[in-house]
Amino acid sequence: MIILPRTPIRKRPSLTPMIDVVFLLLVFFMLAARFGTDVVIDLTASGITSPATDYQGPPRLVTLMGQGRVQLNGFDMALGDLGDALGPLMTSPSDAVIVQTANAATTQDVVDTITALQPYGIDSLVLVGR
Amino acid sequence: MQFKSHTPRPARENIVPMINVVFLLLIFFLITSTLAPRPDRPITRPIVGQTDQTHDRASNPNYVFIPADGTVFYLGRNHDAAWTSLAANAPSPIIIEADQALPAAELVSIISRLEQLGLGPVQMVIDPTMAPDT
Repeated sequence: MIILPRTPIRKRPSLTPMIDVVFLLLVFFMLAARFGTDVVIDLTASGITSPATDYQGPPRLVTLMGQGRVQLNGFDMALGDLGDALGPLMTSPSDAVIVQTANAATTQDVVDTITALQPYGIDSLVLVGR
Repeated sequence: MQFKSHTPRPARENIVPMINVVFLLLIFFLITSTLAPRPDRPITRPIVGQTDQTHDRASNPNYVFIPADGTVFYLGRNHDAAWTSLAANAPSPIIIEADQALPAAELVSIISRLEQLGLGPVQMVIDPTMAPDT
């Protein structure tokens, strides 16, 4: 007489499908996650790419001298004072401010100027070459 | 009287060929993918101190790299080849990663050349950590 072996009764659910699902979730979130994205500032506000509207009001010529010094219409001042000094010359914060660069000025000075004027709402800086 | 339904269970599929295929796919994508190329010169980003302003995040991983000497790198090419592929790809926005010591006059001339190509808007990668004197 042949005794057929009985199929063993499963008591616990299989672990493998759960691992499959966990790996699927892992891969999904690895693909969907965006980590380490860099912080950027807009240079479009520099007015180079978007032609500014007609210039309004008194002259506002800022010259970046480097080392945290700027000139406003030829008067030397610290970068920190530029926003207050520009105030009386602006009819509205969206007025264009012409920014030119001296030889000593670096990219860091350009970024400093943009961020120093942001709290005043001045975001229409027109960078011009020499 | 009892009848036992005796439907045989289907044989489990063999796992080894699937693993083979998965490894093949893994190796295929490892070989065909390229990491975003960076220039061989280091770039120190312009630093911005802590402010109340919120900043945007880069929406495009292919930066235009400009080390302190003013060379333009894009997609692993430099000089004229970089400008050619910039004009061909026309990414929008254009994200510049420039060295903080790059002369501002060079930055301005590069931005105006981008403008002449009709490219934009232009954004610049900054380092939002604390400024060195704060």
